[in-house]
Amino acid sequence: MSMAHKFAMVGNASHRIMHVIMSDFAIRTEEVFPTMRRAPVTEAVLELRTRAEAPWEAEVITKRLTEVLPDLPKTEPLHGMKMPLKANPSPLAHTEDLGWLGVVMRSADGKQAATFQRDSFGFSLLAPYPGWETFVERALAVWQVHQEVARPGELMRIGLRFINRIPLGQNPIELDDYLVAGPKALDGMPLAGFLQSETMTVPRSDYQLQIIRTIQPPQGAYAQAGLIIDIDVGTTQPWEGTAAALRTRLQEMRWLKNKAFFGSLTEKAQVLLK
Amino acid sequence: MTLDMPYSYFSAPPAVVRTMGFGSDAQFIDSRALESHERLSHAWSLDDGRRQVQEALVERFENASRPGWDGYGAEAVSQATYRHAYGVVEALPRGFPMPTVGAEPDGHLTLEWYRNPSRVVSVSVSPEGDLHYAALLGSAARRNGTEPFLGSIPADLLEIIRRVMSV
Repeated sequence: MSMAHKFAMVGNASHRIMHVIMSDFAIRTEEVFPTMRRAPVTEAVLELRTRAEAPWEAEVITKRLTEVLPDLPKTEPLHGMKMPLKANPSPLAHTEDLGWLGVVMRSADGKQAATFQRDSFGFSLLAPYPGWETFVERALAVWQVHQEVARPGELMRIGLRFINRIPLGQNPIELDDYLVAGPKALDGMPLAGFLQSETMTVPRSDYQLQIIRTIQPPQGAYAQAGLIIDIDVGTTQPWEGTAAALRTRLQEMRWLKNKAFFGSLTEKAQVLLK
Repeated sequence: MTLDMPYSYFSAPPAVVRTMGFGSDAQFIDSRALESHERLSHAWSLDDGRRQVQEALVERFENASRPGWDGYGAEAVSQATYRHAYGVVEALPRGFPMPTVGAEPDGHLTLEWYRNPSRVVSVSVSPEGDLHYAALLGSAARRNGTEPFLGSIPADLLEIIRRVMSV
């Protein structure tokens, strides 16, 4: 392994934590990743968790949002549901409405969706993925509307999630052709499914990365099984900053997302997507 | 491959918070991940005491969900308060010390980590999802404040609980 490893003691004397730090790891947003003509992104999401400081009133909020976001014309209220108290509740236990939480607004074609809640904002863009610049500009424009309406405080979490789905051929599927570190079957027992979930910390930063890899059988609009690579980059500390600083953070998170994606795929799989 | 995993609950990171998703693929992944998580958390042999706290929370809520539940005109504990408190317990890192549960006359639920009379932290969960906390960290040090609960336990509060419960 080319990376030099060293051990460092961090934390105070009473409960020191041993961390393994890759000394030469750094976020390099200038790094250029391969361009893919067939980007397998099925959904890109920006989520910002923060509490609204403006009064969170259904009528006022919904009216204002529909006025300023005419390109998200499909509006649905979000309601809280009663939480079951028993481990195996009857279906009826879920049905009690606990009141208005916020609103979901979608574009006419259903490809864009934004949620506005007292404690969070989310923007999601479904396939076909138009590219980072388009996604982030649109997400930040809608976030600006949320800021005007909700007047949120500091950001408790910034989340950037990219779900990728790579169509797989017919059986037998050789997962090692696609994944650098895929699941391993035992001798004589073919793999019928898998779910890998990995969480990583990012040295010298407050980012955390979670990658989920799984197989999705043919379903809905998909005629073929697909290899899912779900990458979720999030912050772990409260943060407050300017719009420009938020953009810088998103660039860093994008780099981590790309690193995770291309680091998961074999060269053979990357060629298939070019 | 290097595993950089905390060796005790004092250094355990908060439970991983997931970013939302809208599409059918997000629903598929989230349901698979939830199913996997539940399979582990429902195994008695792997329970870290969370189940007992959750059961205590249910009991407290059921007993305090009507006005005057204490016989002295206390406010009812609402579903919203219960949901937030349940969420806080769910968001504690795996293997972390579990709190005891109580209810207050103002309709809040409390979670308390008690080590001894001078090392204790009490978190009061409001219907709005605010966490009001007060901590004794030894004979002289005190901390208190309010943090919102937005699906994860604020790092400062988690650190205070660690300090209270550490040897």
